[in-house]
Amino acid sequence: MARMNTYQAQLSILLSCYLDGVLTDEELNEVVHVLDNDLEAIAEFHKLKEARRAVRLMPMLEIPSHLLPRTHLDEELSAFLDGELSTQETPIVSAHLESCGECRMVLADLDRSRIAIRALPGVESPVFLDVHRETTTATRRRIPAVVALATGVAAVVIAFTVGPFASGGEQPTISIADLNARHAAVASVPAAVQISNTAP
Amino acid sequence: MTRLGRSVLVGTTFAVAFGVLTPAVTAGELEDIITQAREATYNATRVTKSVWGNQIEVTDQLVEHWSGGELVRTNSSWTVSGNGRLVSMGEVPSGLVFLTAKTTPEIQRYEVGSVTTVKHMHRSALRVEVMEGDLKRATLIVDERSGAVLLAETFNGQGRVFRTVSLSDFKPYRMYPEPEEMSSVPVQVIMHSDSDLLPNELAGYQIVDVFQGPGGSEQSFYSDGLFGFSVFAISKRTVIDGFADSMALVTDDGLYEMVPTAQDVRIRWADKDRNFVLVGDIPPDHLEEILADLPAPGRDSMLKIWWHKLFG
Amino acid sequence: MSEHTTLTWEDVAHRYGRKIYTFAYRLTGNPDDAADLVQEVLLRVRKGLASYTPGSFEGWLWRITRNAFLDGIRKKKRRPTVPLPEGDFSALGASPSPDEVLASVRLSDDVQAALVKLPYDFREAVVMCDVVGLTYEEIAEATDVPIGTVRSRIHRGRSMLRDLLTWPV
Repeated sequence: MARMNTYQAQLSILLSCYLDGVLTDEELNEVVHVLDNDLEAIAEFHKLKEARRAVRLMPMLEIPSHLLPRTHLDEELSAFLDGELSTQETPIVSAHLESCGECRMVLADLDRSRIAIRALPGVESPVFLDVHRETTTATRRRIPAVVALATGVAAVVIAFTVGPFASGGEQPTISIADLNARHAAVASVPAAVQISNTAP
Repeated sequence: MTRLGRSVLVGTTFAVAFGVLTPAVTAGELEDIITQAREATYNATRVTKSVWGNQIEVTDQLVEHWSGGELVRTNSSWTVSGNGRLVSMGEVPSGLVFLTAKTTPEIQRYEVGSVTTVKHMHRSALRVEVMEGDLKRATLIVDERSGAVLLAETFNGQGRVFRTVSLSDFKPYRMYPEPEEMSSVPVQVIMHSDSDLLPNELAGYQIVDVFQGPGGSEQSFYSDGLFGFSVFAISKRTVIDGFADSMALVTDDGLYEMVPTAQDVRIRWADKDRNFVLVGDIPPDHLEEILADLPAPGRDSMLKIWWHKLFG
Repeated sequence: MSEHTTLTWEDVAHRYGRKIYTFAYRLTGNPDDAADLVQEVLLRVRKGLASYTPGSFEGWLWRITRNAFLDGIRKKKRRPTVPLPEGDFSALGASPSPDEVLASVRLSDDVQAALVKLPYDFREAVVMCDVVGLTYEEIAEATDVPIGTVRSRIHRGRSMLRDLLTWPV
């Protein structure tokens, strides 16, 4: 980089700070003014922005699991299910659940019993039991769980491991990840902002 | 349990106009709230938790959000989305640009209920209730300074929380220019389609636009201004991956395969002509109504056969 | 900060372990050093949490992390810090690789390689800001320098980085 005078050096620092949103109002005005008028500053700004993005786009790394303590959650799990955790606790519990399969299993068990208890007066309960027994014998496949949809009304949800759609062969394949990405992209169109409808 | 790195995540976002403290403001103002939230600029960790039956789905993401777009980092990938575009550096880098002249419809069925001032994460915030008739559909904790939604709870038809989206490590930023598209990723341009296979309105959701989908399929995108979903109509010959661990969802109309995630739900079924896949962030009770208005699972489908074999 | 007074060290480990690990890896490009650092930091957090007095928790934690890191460097004969390919950690390396995939992997490796070439103070400031996501105030507290110095270190780090990297057109 060419040698700069003090003012330019200061200004250059402000450009970086601008990217991080840490300027005072006065400094912000100065930067905005410079970016409106000075082509060199604009070029400098874009380079800084690229450097910043390059670092930010590096992935967060997975910590080797043996480095984490093997303690487990307890009453937090019930509070988590009931949405009773404080906003400070929620990220801690979520982070733990992400890294701890044992707690996830305990959570699933807790939730199953919780739902069974809540569903007791409902019409689904006897159906559950029948479905569970019959499918187990009919398919000889382990059925992990039988539950009601959160709304419950007229719906029953059964978990199964092999979908009846699953089949091999030479057929064309579409992945749900692709469909999901397409939905996300379309859903990101804001209200009242139009995108050009001419192809590039 | 979580599907980090596999799912692409753009939830509905919300914001609020400063000083909106009059109770029972109308849907027009809710729209302002949502529009302003898209403009909020911040960095945060976003934890999304959803309850689907007995399944709890949680994801934890680093989010950089700016006007109309956001960058989400997960374990090994990142995704930038906004304005009908999405660039993803996951297992397979990909870019999508949707060409449409249409916009999300106006909100008609939701209104703002009570609005109160609260403290959240040591910040001044507004607690906004979003009503759907007499049903409380959502509670939003909206940061007063930035307009970002710090906490959003969405309720199912029985008034129970089914999704919580919370921000922590929240760092609001002043505006800075939107990052440019990543030039290293090839971009696929998706054209609008003139098909009218599906109805213009489904259970209170309006069709926004129809697009060409992969492998000759087509995508119909619906929204009610707050939630949204896409229905993909796909050839019967096509195999659809990603439902290996699905659950079965049974309604009066038949049996569907369902994969719930923290951010959305994916549903698959087939009638006698086509496969269908629905993807969206809709509440479970809306999902049931929508499915009831879509082509039902075919009587000759393998699902039905499977079902009848089990239950006669 | 009252919100952190009930944290146990296990909570800290689960909540910040990944960040600490990533922090160390980005600074050194070396997974062994990163693992050592996480263990050392958690040990120090365990000892220090009881005597932790209310203040900025992030500042406190990252000061511990930084000191542990610097102590580790002083003790150890420096190992060569050749960065591992990103593919060892992400799914990118494992999937069939069209040119774009390779390009993106290289890009991430390039950034890592460039990072470790920066002088320590600048590297640290950039990593704390752009990888860990700390505010300037938190970085000032963790590194024990005035905020003006943080501003200039982050800026100079980015400037050098951009000169070390060639950008795809």
